[in-house]
Amino acid sequence: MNQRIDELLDKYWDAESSLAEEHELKKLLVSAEGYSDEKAMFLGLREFSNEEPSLKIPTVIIPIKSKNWINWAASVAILIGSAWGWTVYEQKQAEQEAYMEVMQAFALIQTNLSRGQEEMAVMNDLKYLNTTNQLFGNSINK
Amino acid sequence: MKKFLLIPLLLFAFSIKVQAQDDAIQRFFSEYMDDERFSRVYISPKMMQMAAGFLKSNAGSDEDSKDLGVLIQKVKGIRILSSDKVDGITFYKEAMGTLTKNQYEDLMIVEDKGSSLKFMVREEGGLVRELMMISGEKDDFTLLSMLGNFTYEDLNLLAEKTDIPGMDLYGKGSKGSKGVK
Repeated sequence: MNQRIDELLDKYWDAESSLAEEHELKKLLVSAEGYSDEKAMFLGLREFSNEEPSLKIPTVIIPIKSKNWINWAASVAILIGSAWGWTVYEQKQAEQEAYMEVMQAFALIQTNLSRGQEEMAVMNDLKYLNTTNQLFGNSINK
Repeated sequence: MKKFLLIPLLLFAFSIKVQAQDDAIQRFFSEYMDDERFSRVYISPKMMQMAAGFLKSNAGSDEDSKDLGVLIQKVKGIRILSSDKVDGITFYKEAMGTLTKNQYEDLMIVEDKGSSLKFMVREEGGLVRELMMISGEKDDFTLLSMLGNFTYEDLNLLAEKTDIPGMDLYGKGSKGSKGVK
């Protein structure tokens, strides 16, 4: 048995042992005499693993509040803002169109009023001709 | 007792007279309302308010804009009936035949060989309640009625101000007006 243990130990230290061989080695060491250092190492590890505390970290589940309402609120705010903006834009457009219509009507009146004033401008020129001679003199002199 | 009866009767007669004037204009407008040859424009009091609002928020603080704003507020509505596909002289005569029965005073008449233009006003209480413009020439006819409460100074402003905001778009520019060319 000791021969087998030595054989397995040599393999172990040469890093050539398989898991089955390591398992076999541990079993043999339990029943073998001597090999105190090897026992301390191999069996000590087993004891350590046996003494491994079975502590469990308490897991506290914190319920995450749904943030859907924020998304909804944002969507509604954007929707209302867009609708309001569009309404203002439409109002401005309508006001501009109304203004242009009014200006067109005013322009129509103005154009025709100025037509009358242009006709009167001819009379305006006559005021510089003070006398009949001045008015008709040029053609006579020629 | 007779006096008490007379006053309401006079008031009634006056109201009928005023109504008759409006009816005459209205009839002339409505007569050609469905005529494809005519284009019709009606600027309502609401549109006048909107135009004033636009001017208030967009125009500068210069004197012209202020004057124009005041004028727009005094105008209650504008009706325009125009066509460039009819014999304007015939329609001019027809319109004059309808309107001269009423209480319009001539403001300005321009008669050329082939065209006639007349401005008339209807006064009430010292204010011009209506400015009427009738223009007719060979292929063009325009009837414009501007209702409101304005003075002759306001009309003068309209005649003189050539640089009021937006006027350059319609005055004698490329777009042209519906007025007499």
